[in-house]
Amino acid sequence: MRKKNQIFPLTLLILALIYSFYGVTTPPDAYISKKIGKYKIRPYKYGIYITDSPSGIFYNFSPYYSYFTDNRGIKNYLLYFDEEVPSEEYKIRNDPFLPKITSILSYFNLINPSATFKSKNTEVKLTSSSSRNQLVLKLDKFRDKNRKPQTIPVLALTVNESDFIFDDRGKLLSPKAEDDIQEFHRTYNILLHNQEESSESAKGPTKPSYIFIFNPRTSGILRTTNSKKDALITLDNQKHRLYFEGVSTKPEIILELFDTVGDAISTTYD
Amino acid sequence: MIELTAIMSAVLFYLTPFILGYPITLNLPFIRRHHRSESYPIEIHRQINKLFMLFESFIFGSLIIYLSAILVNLAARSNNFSATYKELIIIEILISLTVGLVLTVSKRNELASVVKTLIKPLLIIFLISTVSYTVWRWQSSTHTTLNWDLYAHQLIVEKIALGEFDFYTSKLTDTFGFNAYPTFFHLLLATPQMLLKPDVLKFWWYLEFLHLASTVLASYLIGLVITKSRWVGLLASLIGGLTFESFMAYTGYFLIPQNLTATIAAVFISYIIFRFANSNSLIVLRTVPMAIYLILNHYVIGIAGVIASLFSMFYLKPIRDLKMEKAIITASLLLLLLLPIGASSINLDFLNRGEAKHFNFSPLEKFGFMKDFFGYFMAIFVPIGAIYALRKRISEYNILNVLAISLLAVVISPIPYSIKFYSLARFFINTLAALGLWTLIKDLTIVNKIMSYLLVSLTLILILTVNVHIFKQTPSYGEIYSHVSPSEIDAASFLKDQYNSKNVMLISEPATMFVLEGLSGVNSPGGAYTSEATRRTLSRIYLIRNSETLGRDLFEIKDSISTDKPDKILFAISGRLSEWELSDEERRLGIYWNVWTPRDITLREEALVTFLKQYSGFKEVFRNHGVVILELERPI
Repeated sequence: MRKKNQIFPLTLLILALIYSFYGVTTPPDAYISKKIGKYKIRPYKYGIYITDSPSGIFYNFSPYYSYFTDNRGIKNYLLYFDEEVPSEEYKIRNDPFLPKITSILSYFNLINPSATFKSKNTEVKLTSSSSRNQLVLKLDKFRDKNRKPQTIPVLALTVNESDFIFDDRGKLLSPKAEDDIQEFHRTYNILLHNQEESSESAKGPTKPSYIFIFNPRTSGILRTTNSKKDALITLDNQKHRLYFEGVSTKPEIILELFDTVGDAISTTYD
Repeated sequence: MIELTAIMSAVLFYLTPFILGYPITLNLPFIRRHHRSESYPIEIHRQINKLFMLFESFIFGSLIIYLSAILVNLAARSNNFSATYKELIIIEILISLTVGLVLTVSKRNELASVVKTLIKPLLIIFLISTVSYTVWRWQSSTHTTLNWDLYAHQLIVEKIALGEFDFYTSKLTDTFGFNAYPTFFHLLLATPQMLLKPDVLKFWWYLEFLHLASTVLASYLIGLVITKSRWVGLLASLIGGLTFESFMAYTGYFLIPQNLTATIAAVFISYIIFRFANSNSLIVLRTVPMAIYLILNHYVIGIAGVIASLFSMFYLKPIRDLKMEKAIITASLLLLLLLPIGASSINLDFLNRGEAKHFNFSPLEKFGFMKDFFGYFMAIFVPIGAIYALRKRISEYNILNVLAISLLAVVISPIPYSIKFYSLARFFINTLAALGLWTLIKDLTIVNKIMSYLLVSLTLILILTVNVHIFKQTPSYGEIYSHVSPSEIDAASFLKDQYNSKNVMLISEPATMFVLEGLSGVNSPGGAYTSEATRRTLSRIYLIRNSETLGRDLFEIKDSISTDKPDKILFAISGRLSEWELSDEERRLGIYWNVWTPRDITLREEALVTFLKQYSGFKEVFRNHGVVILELERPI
């Protein structure tokens, strides 16, 4: 008996299967995430953000807010909104297959969100990595044909106006109303106090210590530390940004994400 | 041990009816095995017969169980229903086991024959189901739930276990506003739970795996009956096992009455096709119990199944001339065209208290659902399969086409809830898709065939993962996917231990009431289906917070089943409460939307807890980071 052609039906089958997969509804990019406890780390148009998703509270890490200082002492942002460069990861939303493949990897928690920005003169790459509840956000690459950074870039993490940002001695870096402080105390048994002189740019503690970021609409809390000797964390209360100044050539933001305030407190003071 | 008890209880859901029904299917003279005609190869004929025997035993046994409960309920109305029922079931199991064993031993080769015939397909089906369930349950371990309806059904189970039994679900709890089915399904769930008292969520977890396996088995059986080919049967089971209708139908993964009914109905129809292909005759005493089973399991899907079965009988028996068959196929194609057009000209939104409008979709929207569920897989392979089946000019293939096309016509029509019919339609549509694939694969060498099957499986797994990932964005809590959080499980456990048989009423926003009532059995005013009046009261107390009227308002909330005024109100507060209270009015007052995602307590809810304790006389009786339960005594 003559053997029938194998190539044609097999090719047809493979094409049909590829087209079948092509037809699946593309998941929204918000579904691409890395989970750390209650928090999700996701790429977006302008960088990487952290969210406790149901609350609608976001913390953004973006080259549009991070900067270096030039030799005249002027802040140069890594990217400027008026030359808007969306991240490459954002652009894949129009690809017929990549968002689906990324969604599958994300489902099995196999991706570490990153954000890459490429234009004619500039290339910036932000990365994230995690271990247990620790998240490390890095500026992995910064290249600009026209601008040479004279200082190590300062990384920015946006915070929210309603956040409680305080150190491990209870000092609030952002001023809060007395009623809110009382409610916080009643609930979590931690007494916070406003700084005596509120400033637009409140500096973090000078010796190694923890800084907490808590929002009343979430049940979790973020903790960061300036554990490196001359690292400095600064809060800009006007722009609602935390700035991380480092000593290394590849600066990073190290955050610990806790599901409850109690977890963070117990690991801080024990 | 907890896992083992849960696994055993889940197995008993199927095994208890099987044990009770097995002696009947095995031996009673009026339902002896069929004579084999030449239309099926002997091995396939034997395999189909044994598979039917599994389903038939389950059906007969289920009916015996329900009949037993009705008799116990009639005889022991004032006494303890659950204790008497349990004793009776144990006796019945022992008798059936003895009879079954004696009969099996007397037919010496029967057991060996069953094992030999079924071992291979069952292993393959187990493998497909395991792969599928692993994808589905990724980061959703045994203490999680993805089936929202589970809580409503579990609540009836709790009532039955407490000795409350009634034919109507709506008489047992106001969570069921109307009766879409009697308590038949719930009694099957309650029986193993009463016998072994498993961890409820683990029980459901394992049970839904078995349910998936049963739907895969049914897919295989239908493919096999219609095409007489194990290769096509395997393709049908791959499609059945690795696809998920992630909206409204939920066939493979959700054990709910509509899906159990649809699975059995599909088997019933394939039985009729098999029977007619063999001998052109039916044994009424064998088919009538199946029809009763279907209707008792779910009125609408059951009746649809019975109609489809009757139609299959009509089609296959008296009129097997080509012209008539052609006319019927043409009519089904016309139905596919005209029903969606006809249905769109009638306003059916009045169904189900006006909520139907949220579940009525245009054919275009349904095309979108198809893309969510299957990508273009069905759009490619079903038409190829349908044409292939048509060209075969075989009655079994023709009836497959007619059933698939007619049911598809109902599914795509803009009729409220019509997607639910896909739970029945899928078995026939999947077989058509399998036939479509088969047209490309059938002439390949064995190695290429196997490679093709692997490619098909891989594609389906990729599609399934994207689909499931989208579905699971809603029931998502931290690193797990679930409708219920560990904190809520602890809260439900506390409620069950402390308040289960007390005259209290559990109050919260609808989703929390639904989840906690389902898992604890503590009464709430309607759970997720609570009345508009209750919803308005809940909104008022949250937003206005009048300490003088708050307690009184809560005690005025009415339960439509229990007329006793509660001695205490239990107010459960979680992060879901603020989410619900701050949502827009249409969502808050309707039953079509819930806060499906667990939310832990935040400062917003803590402020309410403080207020209630300080100004309204509430006492805190339970707390963890997810839920606070406050108690309020009825004012004297």
